[in-house]
Amino acid sequence: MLHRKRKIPQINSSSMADIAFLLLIFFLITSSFDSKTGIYRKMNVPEIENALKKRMDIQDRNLLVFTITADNQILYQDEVVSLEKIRPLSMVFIDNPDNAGFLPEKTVVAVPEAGEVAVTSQHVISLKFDRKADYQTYLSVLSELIAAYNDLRREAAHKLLHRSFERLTGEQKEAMRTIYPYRISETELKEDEK
Amino acid sequence: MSKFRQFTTREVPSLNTASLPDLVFSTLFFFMILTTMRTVSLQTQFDIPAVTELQKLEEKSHITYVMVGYKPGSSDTSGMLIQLNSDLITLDEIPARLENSDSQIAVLKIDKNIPVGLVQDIKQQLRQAGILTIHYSARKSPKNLLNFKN
Repeated sequence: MLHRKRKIPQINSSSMADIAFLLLIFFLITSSFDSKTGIYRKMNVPEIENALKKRMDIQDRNLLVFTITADNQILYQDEVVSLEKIRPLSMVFIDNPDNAGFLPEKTVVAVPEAGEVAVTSQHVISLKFDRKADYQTYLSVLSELIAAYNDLRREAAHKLLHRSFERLTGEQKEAMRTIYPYRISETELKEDEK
Repeated sequence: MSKFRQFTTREVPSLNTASLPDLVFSTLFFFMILTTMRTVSLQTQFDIPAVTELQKLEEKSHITYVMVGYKPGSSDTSGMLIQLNSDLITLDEIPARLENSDSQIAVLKIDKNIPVGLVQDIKQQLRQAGILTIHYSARKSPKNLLNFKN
């Protein structure tokens, strides 16, 4: 009876903190906050673009042109506009809410999930820029144009499906994209256009 | 008197550090989740532009990185450097370098003061190499503003 009930020794966890600190310091040093945000753009295959360039007979009412000059100014109809103006201007142009004669023509298209919707399927927003303009200016204008489309899609989601755009299903989001598809064309200013 | 003497042997209680590992682990997980590992080492220095409308990069692999910036560590902004993945290259080399790559998307990290002409030239080269989707890296701009130089 000399042997009493043996006690299980406790695991000494005082060094646990040291191990965790080592890991923490490793991650602090090796990691870098790499930004993952930005703007997506899709380009056309060269052959397709060359074929399309040959028939540049877009009607005036379907075309909205913004020009970025070498000294980073944004021109609309030969007049300087501020960056804030681009979004509202483009939104009215893309949507043509009153079906005005000087804005893009509307055609009725059957969109899955949303029914029959009048869409300005022929409109083009043309962004012309000088080679010497800053990248920041170019990207700011591009961002505003994309924001105009995204705002319209959000509005349409509320109006047609009574839901916020984020809460739509995949097919419904695709429908909103069909109603307001990105139609932005980017071209460099040629020498004679300056 | 002896009754009072008992109090003189009072000890300072030791600090209980049993929950310290938990605290450290929670900070560790915070950093592990928030950070993304950079896959290519930087050989250029650039300040990406800030814009209002942002989309998150969804692709995790098959990405081609193109960086355009200046020599790191110097304030000299005369010479521009183009970096494709991990190497410094010239503009014309891009299609040849991408010949055997299977990437579908190019992430452009370009300094905000670079002229757009160069960005267009890079885009043309990428298109020749068969990359048609582009993601311009940008930061969130605090307000809808543009710093005009005039």
